[in-house]
Amino acid sequence: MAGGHGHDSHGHAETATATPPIPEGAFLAPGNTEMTWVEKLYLPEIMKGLGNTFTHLFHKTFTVDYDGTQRDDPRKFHIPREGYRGEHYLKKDEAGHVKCVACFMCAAACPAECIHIEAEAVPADWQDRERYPKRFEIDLLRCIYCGMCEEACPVDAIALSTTYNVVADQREAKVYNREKLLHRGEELGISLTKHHYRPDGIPGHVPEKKAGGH
Amino acid sequence: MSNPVETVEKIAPNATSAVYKSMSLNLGPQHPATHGTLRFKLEVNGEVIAKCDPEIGFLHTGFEKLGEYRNYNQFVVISDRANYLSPLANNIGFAMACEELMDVKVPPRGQYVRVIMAELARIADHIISVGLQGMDLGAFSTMLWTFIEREKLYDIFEAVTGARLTTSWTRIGGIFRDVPKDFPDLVRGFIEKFPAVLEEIEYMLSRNRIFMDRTIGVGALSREHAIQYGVSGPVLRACGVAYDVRKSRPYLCYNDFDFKIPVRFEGDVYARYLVRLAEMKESIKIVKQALEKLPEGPVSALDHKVTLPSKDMVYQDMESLIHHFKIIMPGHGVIPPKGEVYSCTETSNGELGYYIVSDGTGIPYRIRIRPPSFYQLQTFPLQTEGKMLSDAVAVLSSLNVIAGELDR
Ligand code: SF4
Ligand code: SF4
Repeated sequence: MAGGHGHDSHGHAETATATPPIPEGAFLAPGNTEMTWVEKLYLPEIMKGLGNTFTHLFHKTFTVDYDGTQRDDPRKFHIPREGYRGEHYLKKDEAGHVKCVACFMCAAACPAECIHIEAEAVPADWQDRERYPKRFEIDLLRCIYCGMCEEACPVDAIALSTTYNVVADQREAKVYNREKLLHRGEELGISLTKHHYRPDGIPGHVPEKKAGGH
Repeated sequence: MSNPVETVEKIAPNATSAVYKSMSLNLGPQHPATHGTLRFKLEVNGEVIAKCDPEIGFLHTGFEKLGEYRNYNQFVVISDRANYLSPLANNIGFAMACEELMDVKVPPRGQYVRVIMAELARIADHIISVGLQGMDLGAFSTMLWTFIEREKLYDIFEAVTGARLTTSWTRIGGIFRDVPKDFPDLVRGFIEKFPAVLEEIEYMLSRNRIFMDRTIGVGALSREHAIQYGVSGPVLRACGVAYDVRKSRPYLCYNDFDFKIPVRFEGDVYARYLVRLAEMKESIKIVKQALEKLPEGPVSALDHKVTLPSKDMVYQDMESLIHHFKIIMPGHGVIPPKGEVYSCTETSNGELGYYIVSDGTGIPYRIRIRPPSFYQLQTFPLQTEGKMLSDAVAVLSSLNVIAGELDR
């Protein structure tokens, strides 16, 4: 039934040669639907195409020879730029305690609902605050790496690193607890840094050098 | 060409048995040419499609329903995933709808940066779409080269947003962070080399006889049908309608730039290809102008009832800390007035609309997405019924249907 639709209408391939008026603010996209006889021969065109493809043999390879091991070699491993949103880590304060004050802001901001925190009163010798997280778990299998937790943290305690190859052979291994998250910061040597999620752009904000990834 | 049905009857006059007449064929859901999980129930007469019935729902994700359980800022991450070829444009479209609802103005720098990224997203989408159009017709190498270009663009996206695909870049009232210092250089580095790549693609495809034979006159959609079916974007412009949301309902700072809308009148697959190529060139023009004029200043609105204050202020200033808490805490947050809004942007596929109903709480009452692909797909039976089976593949890739967007 719809077979007839194409024929009863205007603006069709045949009428295009009559060039309908071009609307204001528009232009006719360049192109020609008529083939010259050389093009109809087909062979010259295919040789042209093959010739072009052949020159690509001598172009620089664009892909990375990933083998997952040489992580400092950009030809073997994609090294993301600073500000990449990869796996999380938790920061420490000068006293070496976890910086987090268990305010639950990150858990509230998380669109994937993958942060689970249990708060507890701090040990008697921690002077600077009242609560700290007894349990702090991020389920990285649910996480979508949006970075909203880092944005939400009022004390700069959680941050995303540039680690992106998120693989494990067990599900449990991808649920990071407090120790693992703190350890990751140490491992990467960035657990004491200030990592501003919003570099410059807002008055009153002094741009600062951001934490180095790995 | 004469009517294909007649041709078949001429070649095989006796093949009129019921079995022959009613062979049904599935195109998809796991067919490489569907570029997503889509299914077409085809009734074929030999090689001629007698009836085509598109079936969607294989990628149903419940995006719209999820929107009723996330606050306004959190929905940005869902808008990423609706169109996986140009997530940035979707981010921007959603943020703009919310800003219209709340009457928030984004500062000039924020608008310019958004325009640049939206145009880069358009290029990333069109280039892949053109490459896949070639691939579906057998030009495999062109597709590989277009993917290189997209990788380069994704490197820029990664530097700016922190992710290659799931950008989640915008927030209501602006952007979650300013662009890096070397942003203009990054973008310039790309757009300076890009025209040469476009030329190469044109060199490989535009005058290639196979490509021309298989696209010219194929899937011709009339202007009237395109309008009736609500088609937008390159597919509509290839039918001779100069409708572009950037011109007809200027948003962000598109009025500041000098650009034109490419149109063709044939309405066929080849015309869509030409329109996409021309549109990429216009996008480059826009990006160049925007980079020249890129103003300094904040990228987000300074109204801290809507946008988060800067971290330095949060650490030092009580008032900022309160604003910060209020925006993030459930039950407070960014609260638009009661009401509804429809806002649309021109993404690479056409008019992407967000219709939001707010009941005056921090969570939307309803979010409806108007995905451009959905309207394009409706015209698919119109374009393929009565035509050869192999043309269906050419038509489908020229529509650039995104399954994630279709099923929501
Ligand atoms: S990155 Fe996003 S999804 Fe992942 S834990 Fe943080 S807020 Fe949740
Ligand atoms: S990481 Fe930050 S936001 Fe999350 S609970 Fe700790 S202090 Fe609060």
